[in-house]
Amino acid sequence: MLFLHKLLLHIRFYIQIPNTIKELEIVRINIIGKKGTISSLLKLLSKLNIVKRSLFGNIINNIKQITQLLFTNRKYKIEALTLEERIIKENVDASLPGRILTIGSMHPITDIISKTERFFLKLGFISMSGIEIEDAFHNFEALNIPKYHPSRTEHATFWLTKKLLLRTQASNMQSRILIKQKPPIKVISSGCVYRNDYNKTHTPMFHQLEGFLVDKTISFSNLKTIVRDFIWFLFNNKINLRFRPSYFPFTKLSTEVDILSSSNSWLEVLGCGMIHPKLLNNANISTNYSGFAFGIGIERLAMLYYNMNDIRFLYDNDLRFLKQC
Amino acid sequence: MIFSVVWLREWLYLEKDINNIADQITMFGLHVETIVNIPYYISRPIIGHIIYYKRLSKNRYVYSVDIGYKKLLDIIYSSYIEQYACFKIAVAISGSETGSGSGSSISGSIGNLWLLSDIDISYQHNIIKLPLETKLGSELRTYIKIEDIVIKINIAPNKIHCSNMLGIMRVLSCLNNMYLKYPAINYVKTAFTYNIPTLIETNRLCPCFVTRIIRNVNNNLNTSLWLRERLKRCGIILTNVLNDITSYVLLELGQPIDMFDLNSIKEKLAIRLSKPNEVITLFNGNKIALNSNALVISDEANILSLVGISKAKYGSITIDTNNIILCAFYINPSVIIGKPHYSLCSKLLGHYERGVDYNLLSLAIERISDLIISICGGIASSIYSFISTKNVIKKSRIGIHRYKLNNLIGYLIPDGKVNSILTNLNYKAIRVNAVWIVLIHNWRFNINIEEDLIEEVISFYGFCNVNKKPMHTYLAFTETNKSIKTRIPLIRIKELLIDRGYHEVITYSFIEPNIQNKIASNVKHIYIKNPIAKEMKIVRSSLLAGLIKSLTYKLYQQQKRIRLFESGFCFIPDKTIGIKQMLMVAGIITGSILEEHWDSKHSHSLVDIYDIKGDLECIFVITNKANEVELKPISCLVLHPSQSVAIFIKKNFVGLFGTIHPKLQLELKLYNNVFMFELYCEYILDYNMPNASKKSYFPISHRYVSIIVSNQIMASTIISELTNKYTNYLVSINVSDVYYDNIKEGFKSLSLSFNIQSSEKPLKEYDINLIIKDYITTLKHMFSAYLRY
Repeated sequence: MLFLHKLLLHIRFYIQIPNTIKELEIVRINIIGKKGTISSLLKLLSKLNIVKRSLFGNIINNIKQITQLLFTNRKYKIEALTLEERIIKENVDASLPGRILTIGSMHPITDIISKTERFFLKLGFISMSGIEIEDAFHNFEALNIPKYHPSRTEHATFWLTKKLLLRTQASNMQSRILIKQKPPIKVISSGCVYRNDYNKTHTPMFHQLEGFLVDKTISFSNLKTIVRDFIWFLFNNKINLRFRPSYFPFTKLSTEVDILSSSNSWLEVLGCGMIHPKLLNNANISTNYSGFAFGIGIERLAMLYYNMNDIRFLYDNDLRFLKQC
Repeated sequence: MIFSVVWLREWLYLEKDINNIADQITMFGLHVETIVNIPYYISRPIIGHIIYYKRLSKNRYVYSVDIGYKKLLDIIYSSYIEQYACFKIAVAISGSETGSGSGSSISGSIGNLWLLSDIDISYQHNIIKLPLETKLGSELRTYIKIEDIVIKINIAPNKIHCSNMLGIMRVLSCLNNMYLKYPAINYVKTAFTYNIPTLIETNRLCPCFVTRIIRNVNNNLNTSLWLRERLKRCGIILTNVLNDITSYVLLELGQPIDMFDLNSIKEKLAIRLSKPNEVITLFNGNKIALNSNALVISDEANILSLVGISKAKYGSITIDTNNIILCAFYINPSVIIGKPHYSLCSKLLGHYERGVDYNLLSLAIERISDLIISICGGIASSIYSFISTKNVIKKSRIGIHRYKLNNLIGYLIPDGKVNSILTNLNYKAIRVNAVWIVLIHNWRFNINIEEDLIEEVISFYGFCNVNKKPMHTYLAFTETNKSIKTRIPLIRIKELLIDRGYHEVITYSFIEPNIQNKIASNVKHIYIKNPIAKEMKIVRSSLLAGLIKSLTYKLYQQQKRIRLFESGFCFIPDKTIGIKQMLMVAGIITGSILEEHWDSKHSHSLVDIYDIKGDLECIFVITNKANEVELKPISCLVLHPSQSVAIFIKKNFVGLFGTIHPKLQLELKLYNNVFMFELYCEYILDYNMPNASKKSYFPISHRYVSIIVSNQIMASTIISELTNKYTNYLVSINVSDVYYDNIKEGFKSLSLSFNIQSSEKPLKEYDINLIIKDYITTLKHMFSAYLRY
């Protein structure tokens, strides 16, 4: 009896020694394995008489059960300890930069064009691409700009031949599409236009987005609504804007739209108006139809949008500048 | 046009402050560009005190003035100054900018008086009186701050009638509902009758012609200070006294007046069309042969002036001129519109082209005579006027239809409002049924159609006051709408490139011919006739020129990793359609694959051709055309001869990519290799709609096979041959490794990975081995490849 009591004490002691699952397993095999201490004790039982056998057998089986319980407890304890250790070990410095392929940037001009297009496409306008080398007829005559107009001289227009030129306004598409399509027409068209001018607010190449709509019962109040909504879409709902009478040869009720800047001065954003009856007449569109047209200077908007004061930044293509946008 | 506010207030007393006035005219369509304060910059007048005077004759007094110096200043003045001891006066020391307002003269004295008119407070000939406590000898400007404000407005072509003071006053008086008082004009006394025979060839050319002679004019004087100040403030360059006066009348009334030397004119003054082979001699001695039918003023022998364009040397005013002849006329605009300008530029032409107000001719002649006689002296003849109003282009009546007004504005403006606007604008209008018939003023050259008049009415009503109203239109589908399924927008490709690290640039479409030659020597140059600089002489045929330029600029800034792209139009001469205009997208890369990174193995490895190819493949994946792409070698000036590839889709050439030509690389001093691509948007934006198909659920088995094949055989050929081979299973094949080391010369090792899947059952080892064996046989058979062990 005494011997068996000591056995349990020994087992309790040995179980505490190993610190890893592997070591514990060796101890377990030594004690309750097939050839372990307890198995050899059980084998010894067969040599005892029945009374003693049943007595000792009972005790050894109890010990075996307790030992197994002790082992599982110890195992859980060791597992918990190692996981804790591992978690502490596997600490990383999250402040180090991640592994990425750097993302590029969109040019501010493309950005403004795509934002503008997004607005008008939602309203059902169709985006059409234009051509940049245009003949004098579609760039001037068809838009009601007479033959001796100063904008047709070499001081203002880039001429390639006597007839061909780099278009001075995106409205050349208006003169082409009006003739080709039947109303109702809702079109926007964006692209480069060229004028012989270079300074802080002008570059020889710049971008315009031209849009026009021809349908029955189109009026100036419709134009005002669409222009206001567009500016509110691009800037914000609280910006102040005004419609200032102006002059374009191809529109009537020609208007320039100014917005109130943070420095309390009016800045011109776009020009628009009702399509000149002569243009509709030339395109054989009946007088039941009317339409409006607008031309948006993209650089101008980009400068306002990104708070720039020199247009030439846009064409420097400086990566550091591009990354800002 | 620039005008001064002091001048404005002289005509129209507006109580409003200047910003209000500016807003008012801006919103009427006369855009105010700038408002500039002009400080009183003539600093010369100083303060003096009259000590005593002597009377020389009836209208001649000599005043001795103390100006704080030892010596007294003697001033001769035409009238007696009462109670001179009670105030101080402003004087100028001779040699300084001197006042020469009527009455004071310089003769013999060493100083003269300053009058109110000299400093432009108003057109009054009073002396400036200052309180006694002012300090002798100090400058006048320390006591009086007479400042003027100058307004610069932008005159749009439809508001051209406002390019003179009278026009602006008319607008302002309408806008403020005030009565416009015309400036008082002194009608000069006529001393003799006009006696030059004048011939107006045809009524049609010049229906109105007014002329007058002034004799004994002294034109060696300085222009009066008040007049010079006014002109200067309005941005007019001063020349000589008679020209200045003409400019003044033009600015005030908008009427150009021609002036000739009477003595050099031989009899008959004529306004006529030029005859063939006639020659005009200009001031500088240049002779110009005129086309026939140019409108000229001439005497019996010589041409005096090419109307609106230039005056001739003959008959022009010189220093010795003392008898002059003044002419003002109205020309039928159709006679001069579209006539050649002989490379001469004159602002006056614009006035005649749009037409002048023929009712003002006599008034303008009276005004100029008054000014000339008061400044330069002289005596005037009677006025000769030839008026045939029958031939004047009359702006007849224009009707505003009620329905048109409604349609254009979008809602109903009440009748009463329209009536009151028309009255305010000084139009005479009658309402007949639903039409207002409006009599157009003869100075409104730009109102030709109903819409013009409506525009004017709405400008007055206020563009800002027009209500906003959302529109109603139909959503009609057109051809272009339908194509959305088969075409992706360019922005999608731009976004893809941006996400892959490219920065978008925009460069000018014009480039240097040299660069163009380096990129594509076979393309004919398209020259710009009037380039802005010699580096911008031709239009581009390729985007690569601009990209290479941007890249070298960035490298110069020591930037290491560069990826740029651009999209835009390129132009190539074409025999059939003239010039072909194509939208292209191009990119260029150089430097390391990744940005510097603490852990990356690739941090320092440089990009190669497969980086740029990878980007292109992505483009073809999003348009679902990866399978249709064919690559072929191409020879191109900018690209490395053995590292340049042309891309074909459905046999169409859609673009190219490759390494920069080593020669160009050396020329541009690029240390690292540069890779670029260029694509035609026309083809790459076409989108193949994928068909959805059922995918297999069964697991995929992976097998690797390493083979050794000849160097000549391209990997893509092997892959496409194997992929096209028919089997019962779904097999995809990739190249997992390529290497050349430790292999027989002329051969390479390829590792192929096979991903095998069945659509019917999970595959067993036995099936897989069979398939792989089959493929190996094919490889041996077709490419004489053998397995690497």
